[in-house]
Amino acid sequence: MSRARVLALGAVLVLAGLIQVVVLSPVDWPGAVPDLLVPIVVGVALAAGPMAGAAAGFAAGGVLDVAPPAGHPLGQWAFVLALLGYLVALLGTEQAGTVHGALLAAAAGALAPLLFNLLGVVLGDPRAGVAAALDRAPAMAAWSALLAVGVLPGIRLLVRGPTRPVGGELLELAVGLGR
Amino acid sequence: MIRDTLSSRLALGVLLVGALGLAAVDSHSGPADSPLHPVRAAAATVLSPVESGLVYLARPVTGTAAGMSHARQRDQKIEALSRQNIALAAQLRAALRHAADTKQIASLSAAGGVAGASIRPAHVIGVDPDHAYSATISIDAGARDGVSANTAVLDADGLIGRVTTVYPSTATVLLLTDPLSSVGVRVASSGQIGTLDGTGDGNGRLRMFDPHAQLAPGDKLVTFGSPDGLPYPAGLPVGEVLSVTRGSAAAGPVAIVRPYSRFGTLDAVGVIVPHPMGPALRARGAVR
Repeated sequence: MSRARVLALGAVLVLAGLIQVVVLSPVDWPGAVPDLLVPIVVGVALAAGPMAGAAAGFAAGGVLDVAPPAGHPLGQWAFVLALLGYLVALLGTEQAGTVHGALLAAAAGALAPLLFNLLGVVLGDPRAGVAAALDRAPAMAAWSALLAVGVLPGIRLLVRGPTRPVGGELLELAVGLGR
Repeated sequence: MIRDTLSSRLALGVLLVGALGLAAVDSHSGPADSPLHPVRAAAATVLSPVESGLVYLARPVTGTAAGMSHARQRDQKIEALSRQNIALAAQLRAALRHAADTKQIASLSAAGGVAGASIRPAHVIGVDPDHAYSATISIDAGARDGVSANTAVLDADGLIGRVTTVYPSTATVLLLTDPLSSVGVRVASSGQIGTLDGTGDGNGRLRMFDPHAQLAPGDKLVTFGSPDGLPYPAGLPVGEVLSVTRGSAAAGPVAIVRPYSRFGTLDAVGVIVPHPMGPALRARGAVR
């Protein structure tokens, strides 16, 4: 990715982290508070591969770890989202469609609180518990899938740039059939 | 499937080990003396004004969302506040009538438990998502505004938590529903004392010290008061008992408590800012 795209992606991650903490988390959503950063990390992973997915996950988690209030050790979200970014990229394909991407985002959204709580247990935080994370998993999956439908195309545009216009593909197909 | 290469696995390993190392270091020391505190402080300095601005800009969205989900509760709250306002105004008039001289007024405020302290208003600018099991919020008042660590934070309904970390222009508040929070409380009617811990799902768990204490649903709880009024002054409303279960034979009753504050709609809050106590107040033992 060019430097300009990397910077733009960084700005998007910081803004998304702030929106998560200021706009999304204070509201009482049915089921669970949607996580805006998981669909973004999934989008980067599907569009740019495992290394980019892991790096984007690390950066997104870093933003969540330092933006106030951040009542947990610095690095916890970075670990979880870097791992999820990498794994999602392995399961994705170059031409992942919307449904495929939304399913992967749903899985990542359900896994993120689970991994976060597991890491909290490992770090010795008495509040971390897997039961609460499991309760939230269906709602988190639904919210992540919903957000992914809107977020994934935008992230693909940001990471890869605009793809060839549809006319070009049809022309190539026609030329190939004619030969 | 995209195959992972050795270099990408290596990169992942570096990132994961790095993040785990940071988290382990940060979790082993307290919030203020962690070696990573400068990082958070720098981020807080940069990001908290942005969060404040974002709160202001996003108010139409968050207000509508909150309004839609809490419309009926808000109407009820307005109704209750109006009634409370009328009652308090009447109490104030009666208290002013009865205060004959300055000695009586001084002893009234000392009994209230907030002698030598003022309340600094602030707004909530950030909230931790609820799937990250900590119940913490950040407010737009910091060291610059006189806020110090380990002081109580309250809203119009009652106690909401205490300040844990202070940055120049923002502070982090641990809500009383967080499992790590523990508040000494007293049952308002009977005077029995106990501790209230957060349960992590919006309520609190009360454990009474006296095995023979009597508790009933609907009992109101106020803060017991810490030494010197820090972090909790005495007499702040905390919540009311929802249900009571009998603890083990040797221990007192255990109850689930609903805090008075509605944590889903926190906005305007007040932080207790203690004044340094003068020698005369200290000698009299002004605060229990």
